[in-house]
Amino acid sequence: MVTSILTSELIGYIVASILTILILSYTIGQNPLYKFIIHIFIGASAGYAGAIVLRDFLIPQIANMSFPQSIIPIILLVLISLKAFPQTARYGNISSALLLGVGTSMAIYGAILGTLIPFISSSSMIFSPSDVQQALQGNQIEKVILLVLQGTIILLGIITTLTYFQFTARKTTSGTPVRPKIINSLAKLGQGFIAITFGVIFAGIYSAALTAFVERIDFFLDLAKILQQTVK
Amino acid sequence: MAYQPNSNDDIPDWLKDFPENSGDDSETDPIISSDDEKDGTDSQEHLSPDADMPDDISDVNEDIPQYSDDEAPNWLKNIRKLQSQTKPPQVSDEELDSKTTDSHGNDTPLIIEEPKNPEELSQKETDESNEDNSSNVDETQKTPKWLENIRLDQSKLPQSDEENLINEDWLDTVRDMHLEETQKQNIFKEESENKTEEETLPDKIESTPNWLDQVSEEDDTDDLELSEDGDLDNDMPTWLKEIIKGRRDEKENSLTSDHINSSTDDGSELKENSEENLEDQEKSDLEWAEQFKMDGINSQPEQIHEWPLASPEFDNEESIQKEEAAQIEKPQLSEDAAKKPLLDISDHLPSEEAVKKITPPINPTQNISLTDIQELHVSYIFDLLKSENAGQKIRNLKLPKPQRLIQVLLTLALIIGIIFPIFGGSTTPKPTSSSESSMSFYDEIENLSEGDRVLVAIDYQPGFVGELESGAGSVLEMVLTKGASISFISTLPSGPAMIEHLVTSQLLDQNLKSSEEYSSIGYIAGGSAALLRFAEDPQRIAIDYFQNDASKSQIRSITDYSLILVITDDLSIALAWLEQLQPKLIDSMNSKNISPFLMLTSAQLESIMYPYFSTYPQKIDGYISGIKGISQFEALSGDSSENDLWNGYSRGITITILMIIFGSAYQLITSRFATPQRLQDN
Repeated sequence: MVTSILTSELIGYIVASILTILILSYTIGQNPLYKFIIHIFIGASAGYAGAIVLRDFLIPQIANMSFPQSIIPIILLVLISLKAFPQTARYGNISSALLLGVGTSMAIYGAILGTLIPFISSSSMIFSPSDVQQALQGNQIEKVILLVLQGTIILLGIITTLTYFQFTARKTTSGTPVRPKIINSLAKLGQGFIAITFGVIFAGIYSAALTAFVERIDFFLDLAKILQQTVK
Repeated sequence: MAYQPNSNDDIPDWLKDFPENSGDDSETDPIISSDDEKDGTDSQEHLSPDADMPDDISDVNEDIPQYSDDEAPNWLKNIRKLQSQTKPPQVSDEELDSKTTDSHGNDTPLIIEEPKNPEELSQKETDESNEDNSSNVDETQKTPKWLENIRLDQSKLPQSDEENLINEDWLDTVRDMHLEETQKQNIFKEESENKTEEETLPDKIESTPNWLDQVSEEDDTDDLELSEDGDLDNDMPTWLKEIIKGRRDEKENSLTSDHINSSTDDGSELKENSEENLEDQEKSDLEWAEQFKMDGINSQPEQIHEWPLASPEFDNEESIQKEEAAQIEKPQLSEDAAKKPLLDISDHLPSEEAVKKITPPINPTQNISLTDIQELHVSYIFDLLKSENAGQKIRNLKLPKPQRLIQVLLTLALIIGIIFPIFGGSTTPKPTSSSESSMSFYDEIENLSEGDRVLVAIDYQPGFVGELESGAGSVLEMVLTKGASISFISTLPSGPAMIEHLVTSQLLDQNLKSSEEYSSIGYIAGGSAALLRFAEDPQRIAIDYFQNDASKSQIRSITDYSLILVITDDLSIALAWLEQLQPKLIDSMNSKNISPFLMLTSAQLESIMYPYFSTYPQKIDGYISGIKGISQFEALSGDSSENDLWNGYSRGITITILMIIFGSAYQLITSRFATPQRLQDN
């Protein structure tokens, strides 16, 4: 009877609940059980990721490549593998340089074309001329005011936030570097916008964590239901 | 037996001119000759030619006034008397000619036998008996006493009546002053008696000056010591002093030079000249000494009778040759002298070390004015540099008990608030209003038609399964309801496992048929580069996926997909999809996406994704984030089923808001009553 009760799914549920309780033991402070679970989690993640990369990427890619095409990738693969040993780490610098160069170029390309240029062009439309014109035509003064106010706040936030990161200063007679007063005032205002942004991001992070916690609590409740059904 | 130089040896002219022994002491007196005084001739003339004598000494001697016996002051008379009593044996020119050269034709020093004086002999015997013990002193370790006593006790010097006159040969005067004391002790003879058989002194050499035998090239002149009485080697010539001086350390050189300088204060008339010519005299004396060493003959004519220089070994030719060889060979310089060639030469500044490479000081001494804040920042940087290589100890932070208790209580409060709906029965209604982004998201899903291919990227971690999987399930159910097929893809290694879990847990009710309704491209490695390559040519990335199915082979570019949905929790992955793949979707005509690009993200990315949605042209056609966005979508899609996560999430948010409010109030109230000590303790 016990074996029929203990199906694989149930065993999975029990093990998962035990691990969850051990993770939540961090509430009372760092303890060996928490460290044990963390080690298991990191090891399982790394092992699974390595197996997937080997099965779904490396072997198929190398097998599908013809011999002349596979020489350079194999050489680069061997060189970067040498990074694991301090004595031969320097030989893997070629592969590392290639990875770093490609990654940096991709990041810069994407940041400029995908983020910077679109946001700069969008900043010119913060006052939404078409929307304002349409609101004026409809005598929607409140909407016009709202649009203008919204545009003003957005523009002020952009200017003051960028000013905050302007660190050019002059040295006074006492030797202390001081920014110009107007720059300093705008930077203080930009500091407020940055603080609000960080607060919103923190709220989102807390919301995600709370959701995960709620999901775990709900998991325990589901386990209790399953056990109750199983016993019955 | 006194040394007899070879007759065939070359001797300096001054030595040849040395007068023969005569009964008249004054005639043979090399120091002062009354005849010379009477004649007013230079006392040095008959002793040596000027060529062998330093010119300055000759000049000095020329300036020395000549006094007769009647005219001489009392002290001078006493000196002459002493000289007459202790005059050394005179050597004729013939003897000099024959005895001043060795068998090799080199000049050798001449040993002149001192006159036997009964008083001296008796004195010597008493001294020998008294100093048997002290005679064991190693010859090389004794310094001449004349060095110690060279500083003249002016009280001993014969003082004229208000006339601080010096003898025409003040050097000889100094020597004579100590002649009695030297003859009394005669330490050298006692030491010579203690020598080995090979070094036995000749019988005739009894009154050899001690300093003379002590001074040799082989001897370590640094060890020459003066007795306390200064009765050793008082009659050592100045030039020899310089030689010895050069071999000793700087301290003895200064001592010797000080003595020489002090010895010039005897007379007023010649004082200036003596001081002026002192340096030149010493230099020239040194030249004499060096020349003598090479020639082997003592070229100091006025003291020739005072310094039988040869060692007492000259009783046979072998010993003579040994001595000659010893005297001929160059002086063995000490280590210091070898390194410092000027060490033997007196009256020069000590050699300096080679100029070292001038480098800027490591620590500049100039003071830099820093403010307090700058100094504090500098200290931070230094501490940071110091801690770079140091291992950081991970401290097990232990919260204080009250704080830990509060932490536990807050956790329990959250747990109770989350599970309360289960026991209380009340649920939180789903939100009725939806944001613009949620509505756009829903509209795009709603616009799908049958046969459309949807690319769904599962790029979230297992930890966000609870937040995203339920929403992903709802969205995919709607997509499948529309008749579209789903192609899963992932840029994370754990993606295939998450895809499988999503399909088995959320889409089980759909009775999905693989290869028709859904398929999995799998994991594509390479990050941003792989996404860009996939956007340009999907079949190059997933060759096996597209080649095995003819229907899938129609996908030749990313725009062949009807909709692209990215489900992720990571900002970098979301930006990679936005920056690499989304630009390939833009229609150049109207700047809109050819294929709608939707995102289902975690709540932490909501504020970051909004600018991409609100910008013009839109980069994201719609997005939903977190439990709130999922609930809004479910409300729009007409899903009336209860969402346990939404109930717990709403309760948890409420409790969190209450904790923030009450906690801030408590902190504000207690901060008013906080003391500096309390703040420091906290």
